[in-house]
Amino acid sequence: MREVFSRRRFMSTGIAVSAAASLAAVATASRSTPSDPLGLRLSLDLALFDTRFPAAHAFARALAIRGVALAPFDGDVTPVWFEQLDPVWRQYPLTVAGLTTEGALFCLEQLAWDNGLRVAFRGIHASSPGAGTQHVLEASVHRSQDVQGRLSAALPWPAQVADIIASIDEPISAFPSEPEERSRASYQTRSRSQHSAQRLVSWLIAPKNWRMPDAVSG
Amino acid sequence: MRTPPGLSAAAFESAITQFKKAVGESWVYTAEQDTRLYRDAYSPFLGEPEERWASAAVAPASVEEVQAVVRAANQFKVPLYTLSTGRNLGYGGSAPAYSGSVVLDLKRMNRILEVNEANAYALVEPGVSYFDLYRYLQERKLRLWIDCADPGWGSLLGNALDRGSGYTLPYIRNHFEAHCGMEVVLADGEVLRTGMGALPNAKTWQQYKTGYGPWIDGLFSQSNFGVVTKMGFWLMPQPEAYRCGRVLVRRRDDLHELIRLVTLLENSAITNGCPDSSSPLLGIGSIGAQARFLAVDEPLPTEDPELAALRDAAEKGDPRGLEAYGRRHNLAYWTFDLKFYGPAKVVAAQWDSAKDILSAIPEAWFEDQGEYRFPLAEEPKDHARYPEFGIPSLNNFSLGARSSTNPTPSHGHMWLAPIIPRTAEAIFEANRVFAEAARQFGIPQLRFALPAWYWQRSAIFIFGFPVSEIPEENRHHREAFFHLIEVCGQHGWAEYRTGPVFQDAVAKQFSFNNHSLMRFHETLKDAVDPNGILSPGRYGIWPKHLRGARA
Repeated sequence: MREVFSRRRFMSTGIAVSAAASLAAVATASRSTPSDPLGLRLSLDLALFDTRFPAAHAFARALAIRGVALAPFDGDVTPVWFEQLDPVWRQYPLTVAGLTTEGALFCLEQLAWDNGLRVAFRGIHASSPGAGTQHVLEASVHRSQDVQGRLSAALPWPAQVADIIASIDEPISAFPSEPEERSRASYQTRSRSQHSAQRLVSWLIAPKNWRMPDAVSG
Repeated sequence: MRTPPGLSAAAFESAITQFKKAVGESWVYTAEQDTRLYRDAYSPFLGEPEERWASAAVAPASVEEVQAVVRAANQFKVPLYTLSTGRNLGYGGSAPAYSGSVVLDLKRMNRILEVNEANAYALVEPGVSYFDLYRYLQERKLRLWIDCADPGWGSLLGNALDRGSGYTLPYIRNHFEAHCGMEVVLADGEVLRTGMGALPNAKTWQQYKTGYGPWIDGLFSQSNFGVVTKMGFWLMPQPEAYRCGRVLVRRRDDLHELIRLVTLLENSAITNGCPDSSSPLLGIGSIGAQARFLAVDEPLPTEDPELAALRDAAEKGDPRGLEAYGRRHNLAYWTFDLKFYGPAKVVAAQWDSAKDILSAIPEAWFEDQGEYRFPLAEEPKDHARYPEFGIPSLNNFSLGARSSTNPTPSHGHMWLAPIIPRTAEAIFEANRVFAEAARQFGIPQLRFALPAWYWQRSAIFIFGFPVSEIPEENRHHREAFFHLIEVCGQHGWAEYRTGPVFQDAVAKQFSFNNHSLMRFHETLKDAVDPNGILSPGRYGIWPKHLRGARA
């Protein structure tokens, strides 16, 4: 059954996929460990995207241009997690971004906890036919610059969100689960036509011990 | 750091110090940002004061560390709440039954200690998930299958102790029944092994279940008498083939004979997979069909107004119009999917034999639903088959996404899961009772339903009550849930399992002879855990100092 998952990794996308082996190489490359993170710059290693949604493709393209490895999946996040993330996360807290359904993030977030990672940025993107897309971006209060004044209604939002996530290249604090501890911003953008309501989520999962230097975080 | 109720801050601080000595400082979690990860993501009290919370968590990596933690907890009377991976969402997640408990998180105990391919069994620790064991078997090319719950991220041991189920052979898909031998740390730190494991030089711990003398394994499931640290499981040899066949019948009253014969087929081992039922005329999909339907984002088909009217008439007791509609459109009133595992020749013969027996139902007809050979040559296109093939998955979570077919996904759910008799009479009666509750509480989820057939000799209804982020909605659903627990009890039915919020209410239904069963549990609890440190309140079993007056 193992080969089943291997084949699925290459399904329904024209975008090159990073294999588990190359991720493992990232994990073992000569870089400092998360136990001594201060002063390091966070590196985004992998982006997951749900191939059923055009917005997710656009998000992935924007990150691929920046050299981020891509991992597509078709609704079921199991193969990406089982084949690529889990083997690496057991060794190294790989930083991962994505544009997926909330269900996929729900799974990944809980699985990430066991490996010392936390969701550090979250954007909800709810669209309905003819009504545009409502966005709510959330990050730690210490990273309000990641969510405030970032989305332009005149530009496609998936690439903008990819830019925001890719720009989080400094040590970050863990995403607080209590709403009052989050910085939040809402936006409205125009939508391309689509046949049904969608609710997608963009996110960044990063090692929890990465934190703002005291001088910055206050 | 919050302190468990009834414990001084100093005593708790001392206990935490002992825990750190036992497992290492980095494996004791007291910071809010860590302890809140143990919240139940699907809590019926989400965000309300009654939501269960953990004061801290401690994650041992070995039996010896568990012993040390338990001894320290006993010394300072700190309540612990044991979890394996804590992912039984819908049944409580990882939040403790008693708020303020320290979570005893066994995820780090994740070793697969033995897998015996020839005799199809494994011995695992609590933190081993279905994915872990699946990966182990695949990497070593062992011709064994696991039977996994869906989703597959849970612990074999935890799901078995909660008496969960899966989809393959009857004696394997009943996850507690599939176990063979346990190791348990008692409240005083003593380690015991059950079954043949009590022999110092045991050679058959995972081969013979009951050992000698009283068989006590059941005491450690759905309970709080010990911390299970190892458990053996019987696995399923990879079959040569799987076949699925569907029987379809015309009339409402055919359900009586259909269930009787399907039960006969199961109890005779002519069919050996988990049956699945549906009603095309009533619009009730099988469990597999519902998964397939939700996986496709297509507009809902337009309902035929005639069909809707005929359904109403059928629900009021006159199915003739609906039956005639079925004949005109070649739609069955009821269907059963029968599953067969084994050699290809044998499963073909079993399906033939099943058809012979089911042909006793007038006008019954049959449809082949496909055959698979193993190992699979290619990925099954039908994700609903994954758990039937012992492949763990997280696909369930993708089914809940907002789409045309699911425009208002809930935040989560809590399962109401009463066991009922395996008869059509019981199904009609249960639906009448649930319909009454649906009218009373305005719960649309309680429309006419068919049960699931995970367990041999009984049936189980499974209703997912939504959990939202709106307290008023959650309160409403909790009230309906509590009401239905009582109503089920009045009819002689009860939940096979439930989350901590509802465990007392369900336990109270088992009140034969002035709660003699619970009084026995409490006698045991007081004897084996006099300080009441192990998972107080789990499944309604409270230690003496927290025991309220029984209603």
